[in-house]
Amino acid sequence: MPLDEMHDVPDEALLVLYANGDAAAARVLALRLTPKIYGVAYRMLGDAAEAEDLAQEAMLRLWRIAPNWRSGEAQISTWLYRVVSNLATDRLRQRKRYGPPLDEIAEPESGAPSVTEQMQGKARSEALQMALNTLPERQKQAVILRHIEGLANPDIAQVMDITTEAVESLTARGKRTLAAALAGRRAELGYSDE
Amino acid sequence: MSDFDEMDRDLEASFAAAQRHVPPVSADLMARVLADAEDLQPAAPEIARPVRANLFDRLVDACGGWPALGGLVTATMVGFWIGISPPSLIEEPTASLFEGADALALYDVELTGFGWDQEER
Repeated sequence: MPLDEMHDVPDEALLVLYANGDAAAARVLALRLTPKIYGVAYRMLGDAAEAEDLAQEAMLRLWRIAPNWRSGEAQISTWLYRVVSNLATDRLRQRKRYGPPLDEIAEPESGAPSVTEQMQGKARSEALQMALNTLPERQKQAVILRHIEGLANPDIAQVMDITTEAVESLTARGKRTLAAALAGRRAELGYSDE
Repeated sequence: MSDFDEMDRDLEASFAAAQRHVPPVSADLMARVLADAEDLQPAAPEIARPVRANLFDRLVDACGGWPALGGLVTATMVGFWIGISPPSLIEEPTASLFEGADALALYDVELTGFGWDQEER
């Protein structure tokens, strides 16, 4: 099947095509899925190089399991989210550190009277990442999957192998911690302007 | 607006910013992922011959296809030709097999190899 016809093909069908020798199917899957799992890995670890290692490892496991993928049991994206989250949690436990606390981060350059929306968005995103780095792994994972990846609570429950109620509890606690961490930077990040 | 509402609103704005500022996948990472896919890709299975619906065509396929049938037809035609041809036409090529023997020798029991009417010893 030509590459340009594959963009509407579901993940699972592409994986079956790949397992039957179709190289173009692998390219479409890689382009579609790698950014998602890299994003989760980066948000979990706060480090681009480590996130790349994890994303590559998770995709490697997908290629390996392709011939034996049992269709209809789980979505490929759910499976990948679980793999990359577990890899990230393992890596975090090995590191046993959470990144620098917020107040140790260098003050942003002062002097510019106004910050463009683009720069402000980037600054807010980075501030959020610093705050995420301080969360316990399970709260961090739940918040990332819910509020950045946009998964519904039942899907997160499947990824994390817990109940939907447990997901809600984790996201609630995580959000409270993040909000408190960000409250100290409101003026700097332009929230008081709104 | 209460402090909690403000904090919640600010947090939602931060989440929205994080969704927009997605960390980009480097070209190097994508290349590595694709290289892994290639390394682990199973070989394509042999393409099976398409099954044809028509019964006659399926029988032709079962005999080995039209090329094989062509050979069968040829052999049948040769046998027919041998059958209708007068013996003199057959003798010539086989004469070299029976040097010095006359035509009737072709029907000699021993030469033809059938031993049905030989007495048992």
